[in-house]
Amino acid sequence: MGMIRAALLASCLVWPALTPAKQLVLHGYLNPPYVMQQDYSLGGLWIDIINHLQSDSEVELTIEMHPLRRAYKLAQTKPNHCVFAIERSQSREAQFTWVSPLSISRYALFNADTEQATQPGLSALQGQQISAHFGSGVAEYLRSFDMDVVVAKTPEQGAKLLLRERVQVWASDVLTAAYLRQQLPLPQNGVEFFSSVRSIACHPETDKALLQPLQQSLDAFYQSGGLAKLLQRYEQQYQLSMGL
Amino acid sequence: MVCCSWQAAANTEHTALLQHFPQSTLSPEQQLAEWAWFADAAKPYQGMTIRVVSERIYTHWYESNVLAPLFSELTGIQVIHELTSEDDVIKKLQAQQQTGLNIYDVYINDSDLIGTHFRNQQVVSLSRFTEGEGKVVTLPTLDLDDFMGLPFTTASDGQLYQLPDQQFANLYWYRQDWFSRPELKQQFKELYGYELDVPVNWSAYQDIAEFFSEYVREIDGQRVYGHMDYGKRDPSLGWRISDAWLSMAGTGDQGLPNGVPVDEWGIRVEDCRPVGASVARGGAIDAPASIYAIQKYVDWLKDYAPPEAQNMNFSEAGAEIAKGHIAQQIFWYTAFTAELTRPELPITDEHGKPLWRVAPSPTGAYWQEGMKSGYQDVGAWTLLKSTPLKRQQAAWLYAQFAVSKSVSLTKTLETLTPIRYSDVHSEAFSAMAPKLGGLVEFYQSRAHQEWTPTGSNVPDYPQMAALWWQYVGLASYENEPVTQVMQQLAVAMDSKLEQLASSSDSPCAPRLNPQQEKGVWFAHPGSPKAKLDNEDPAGRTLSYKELLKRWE
Repeated sequence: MGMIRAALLASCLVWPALTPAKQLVLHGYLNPPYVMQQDYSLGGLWIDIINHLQSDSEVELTIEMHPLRRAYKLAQTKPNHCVFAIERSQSREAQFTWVSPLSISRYALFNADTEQATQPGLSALQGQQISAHFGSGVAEYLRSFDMDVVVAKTPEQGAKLLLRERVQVWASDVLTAAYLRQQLPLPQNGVEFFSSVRSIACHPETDKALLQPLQQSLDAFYQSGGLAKLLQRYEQQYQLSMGL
Repeated sequence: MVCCSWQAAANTEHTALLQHFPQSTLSPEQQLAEWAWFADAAKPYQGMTIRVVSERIYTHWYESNVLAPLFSELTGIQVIHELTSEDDVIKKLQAQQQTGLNIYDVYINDSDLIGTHFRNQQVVSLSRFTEGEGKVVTLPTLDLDDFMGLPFTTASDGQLYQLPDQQFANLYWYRQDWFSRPELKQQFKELYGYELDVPVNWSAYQDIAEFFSEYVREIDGQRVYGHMDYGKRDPSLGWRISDAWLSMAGTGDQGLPNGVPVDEWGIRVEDCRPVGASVARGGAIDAPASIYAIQKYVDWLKDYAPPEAQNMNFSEAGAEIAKGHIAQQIFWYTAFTAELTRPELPITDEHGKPLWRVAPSPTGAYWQEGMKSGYQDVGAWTLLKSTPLKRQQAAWLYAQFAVSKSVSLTKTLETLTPIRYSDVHSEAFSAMAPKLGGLVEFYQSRAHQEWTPTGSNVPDYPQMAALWWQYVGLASYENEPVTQVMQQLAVAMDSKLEQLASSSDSPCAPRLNPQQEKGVWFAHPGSPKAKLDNEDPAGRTLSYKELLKRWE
């Protein structure tokens, strides 16, 4: 549902409305609480960070919303176009130029028994079906260890597969899980197993004069402690600690 | 006699752990005493969860799935030991240094970054830590002198920055069963005029590659190839090149571990300061030896490897030799020895013994005695200063457990990536020799000191390693001329050194030499070396037995 809504919103969530010649176009996808629709604007952790980068770096940015697959494709094919945020990984490294890291995500495995869970190592999951959502990179990660993974279109769909007992385990980043827990009766504790660096990925021929100030602003945001404070706000709102 | 609570408890507790670690250079009583020490030292950290990241090889799978749960049972410290691609480990370490966020509590990071760590001072000096804030959690029986890889994890400032966790080397790999077939030996001698045996130089390697790919073509009904490599423009191509191609060709200078004053990356260092990578500044990345190395790499990949190899990366190519259609590989990572000794594979016999052997890699036309012979990877425990002290201490306990004498021999026999002299010279490891195709002989000889990791000349490994795959990939993947690519790479490396020079206040930060005519540097002794009149001397081979004597 989130993807469909994102696609419908694509034409109206353009900011700013007029695009000057030298600017970056950032293609995003709805992914609460990282990117959320709030009335007629966008909000969420990544939007807050990008807003800061825009004002600090003075690089002209336009945000457009799409389904993830489309956003990814646009960044692959058009210079000065980027997708935010995707996992920065070895297999993707050569395909993009990166502004990194936009955020760190902690991934956990949730099932009905994880209230008292201990860390067993991935081998303990052999034989169990796991749901993970498209685009997280975690489905591919788990499959590379020969895990039986069902790919859901959205985190919400992945969680519902667990609640309907269609899978034994749900893999999600802990911030998304905390957000969804407000709406769904999901287990409180998961077994953490993976951390990922999520970044803005731009077409490799993107103008470096646009990317450099953006990266410098991002670095300065970390070094000032501003980004850590922003993250703490989300941790408090969703009542979790990511241990960063 | 001094006695403490953990020693007194040793006889009664933790005996269940003995079944998991039946092989040890310690007695069972000594093993129990070590475990009692861990349980006692970990008490202030019980209930904590620590995060570890390492590259994805079998050794770390074993640690993540066997050692981590046992450590948690023993100490009450939970461990999330994550496995990921090597480039991701480096990117995550970089991200932690860049953001100051505590992404992981400890990294198992290749010692190739030693030149980065001691210059940027974001890594904890273990020399200081074990005598200071970490003393209370430092295992009394750790025995640092027993670690083979310590010279590679100690920087030129004399500080130990990383503790070795696993080691593996790049060695020549070949199908000894095919090389022993009389009809093939006869055919080779008729064609090339010398014995089909282990190649000592690149000319012989090239002849053997051509022989299997062009003349033999099929063995037992299967298409076979005389060479295997990979060429996809991907971060893993960078290691393939910087790890070993240039060192084997003879780009650097004599002197271990990496060549003095020019190392195997072609970087010249004066008084710990990198002064240039291009020949114009006294380096050797665009020197004839380096161009020769990359030209051979590109030509052999295209001419003698399976056609699909050009589009493969490290992990895709790694699985190929197990399929049984490759005759030789100029260098092969022994980290995969455990996987290549599985009895169901076509490269082992009916008793599970390998039909292959490892030997010293052949060397190129510019190589001379006294230079490093190849690459060795040392994955090592690395603490960052941005990690809170209590978390560093808890993570340090796990790190030491994974390499402790009570655990390490069993781990070594299982994973075949030894780190301790005591394990390598143990009866149990020696007894494995017939099953491991030369690996035991390598580690029991002095050779393990001649196969070395990237050294301290490289001032920013994450940034500079990326240049290798970005440029060499243009030659291997997009067919651009090698000479032009290496000249561009040299300019890019110099530019990166210059950038580091202006942004670092380290006493060992780069300081570039002025540019001079190349002939000025070629007239100097050593590297960079002028082009040889003949880069293709006669091929030379030796029997496996004779070659192993080089390791004695």
